[in-house]
Amino acid sequence: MAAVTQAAAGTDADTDAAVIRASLADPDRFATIYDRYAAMLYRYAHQRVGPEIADDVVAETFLAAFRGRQSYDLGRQDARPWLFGILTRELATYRRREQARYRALTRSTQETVQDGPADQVTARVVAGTARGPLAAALARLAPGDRDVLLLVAWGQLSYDEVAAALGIPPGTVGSRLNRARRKVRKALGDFEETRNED
Amino acid sequence: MKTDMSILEELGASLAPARDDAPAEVRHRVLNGMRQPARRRRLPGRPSGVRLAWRIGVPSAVAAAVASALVAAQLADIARDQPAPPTAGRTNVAAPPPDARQVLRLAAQHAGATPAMGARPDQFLFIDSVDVEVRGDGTKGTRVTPPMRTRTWLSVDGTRDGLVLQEGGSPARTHLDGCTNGRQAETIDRPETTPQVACTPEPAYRPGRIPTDAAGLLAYVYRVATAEPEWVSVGSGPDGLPTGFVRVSADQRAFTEIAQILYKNHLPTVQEAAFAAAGRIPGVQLRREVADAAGRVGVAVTRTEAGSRHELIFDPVTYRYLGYNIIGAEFDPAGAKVVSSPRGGKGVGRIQLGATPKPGEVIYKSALLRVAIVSRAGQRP
Repeated sequence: MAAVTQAAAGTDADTDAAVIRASLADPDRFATIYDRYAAMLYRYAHQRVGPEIADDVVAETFLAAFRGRQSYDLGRQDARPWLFGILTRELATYRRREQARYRALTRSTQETVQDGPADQVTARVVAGTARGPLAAALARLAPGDRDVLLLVAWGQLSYDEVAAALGIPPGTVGSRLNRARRKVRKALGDFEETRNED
Repeated sequence: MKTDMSILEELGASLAPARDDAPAEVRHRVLNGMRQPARRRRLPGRPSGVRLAWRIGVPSAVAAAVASALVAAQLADIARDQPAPPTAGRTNVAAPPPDARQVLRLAAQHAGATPAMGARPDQFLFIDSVDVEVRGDGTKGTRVTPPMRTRTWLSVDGTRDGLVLQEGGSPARTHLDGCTNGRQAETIDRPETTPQVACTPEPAYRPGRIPTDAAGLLAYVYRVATAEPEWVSVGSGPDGLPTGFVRVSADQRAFTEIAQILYKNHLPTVQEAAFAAAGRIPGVQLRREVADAAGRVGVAVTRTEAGSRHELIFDPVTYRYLGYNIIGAEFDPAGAKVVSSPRGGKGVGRIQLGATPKPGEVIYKSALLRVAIVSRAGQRP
């Protein structure tokens, strides 16, 4: 993902901070930030809330980032944690929808949940059997714990990046992640015992 | 055995979109939104006037406001002949100083007595104005622009393409896509590369959907206030983003919508109804010695809420409408209902982000110099 988005930007020489600084005088430059990170953020939003809401959430995230860019800490070269932080806040509005999405997965373990080309089916099948209990566990997590867990697992952020994104101490990231994983493992426990593979 | 994290990643992969990119429509929305710096539309649909106002009245401002100015000379007498009538239900001693409602009543009389200019549907309303805006200065914080001479051409019937030419520090030429056959470009400045959306023409000098009677117009602006609420951001989190949002009251939103109407439609009957309707909005106040963007000093009818004071400025003698100011005001969010996100309403959400203006700081000013009817966009009278 990162490779794709960096390549798409075509201006790798400029750090995110340099681009954001330039966008203060020339707002159109901010489009570069969009082009670098839109795919990444869209994927993450799509995973959490599905296609209909993902469009809105990603658009609102970038617009909020654009309007808040004056207060971006230019000492941070990489804007990804900042953007994921804004995205997380936007996603919070759809907490119920997100939970409903996970619960729907619980009920329809073997069904496809989205329309997509055939190559997506493979991934679906692999995760298919574990999906039910896992999705149920995700739906039950405390929102803050879920944010941390999914920023790591799906957003591919490091602990430090999650801390920066959410504005919480790294230690809190660790404790939230541990708590979330414990609950996920417990939910998977029953399932794993009856499963004979790997 | 798979770890919990790898199973979670597999689930994530199954929930990922089929495509690697975000939809093109999202990019379009974002870039479009970036060109409307301080405000944003959530839904396509209501339109051109609002976007026009955004484009012209760039900052956290509302819209440019302007009014029918011509024929001032003869109207001076009219206003003088009609001293401020007493407020209904109140005993008003002597005459002076008029209160806000009386000023609006006199302004309505002035507009009502203004002869309509002859205008064919295919012609253009020419608006000559001086604007002051707040802009980011390229590093941090904001600066107020020097007064910028702004010439605007709006389609009389709303179906033709208009134009805005702005002089000053950063000269700008903005094409305004007209609503032709019920369709117009979604963005106003790059019509050739943006999708067409459904629209309703917004005439600049003909009756349109804006009522021409005070009661009807008042109901209209409150309908807009409900459908398109305005939100003001408060606080600042670690990421520099607001920590919450306060919804502007329906009264305030209705008042600012009237300012937009004064800009969008200069038909005397519309302007008259707009002033009369403003006088029925609770909370309007009178403010003296208010300077417009052109330096003219007048009497203003203001409404203040959530950190900004909106001022409709009038000539103190003739009650001709001079212009519109938005000035920073004290705002104490304590006691206000603060929510974490402005979502939930339908229609258009409006949000002010960025540096909070300090009390007394200029946010936006627009002074009307003259209006006229011309045949082509770009043509001077």
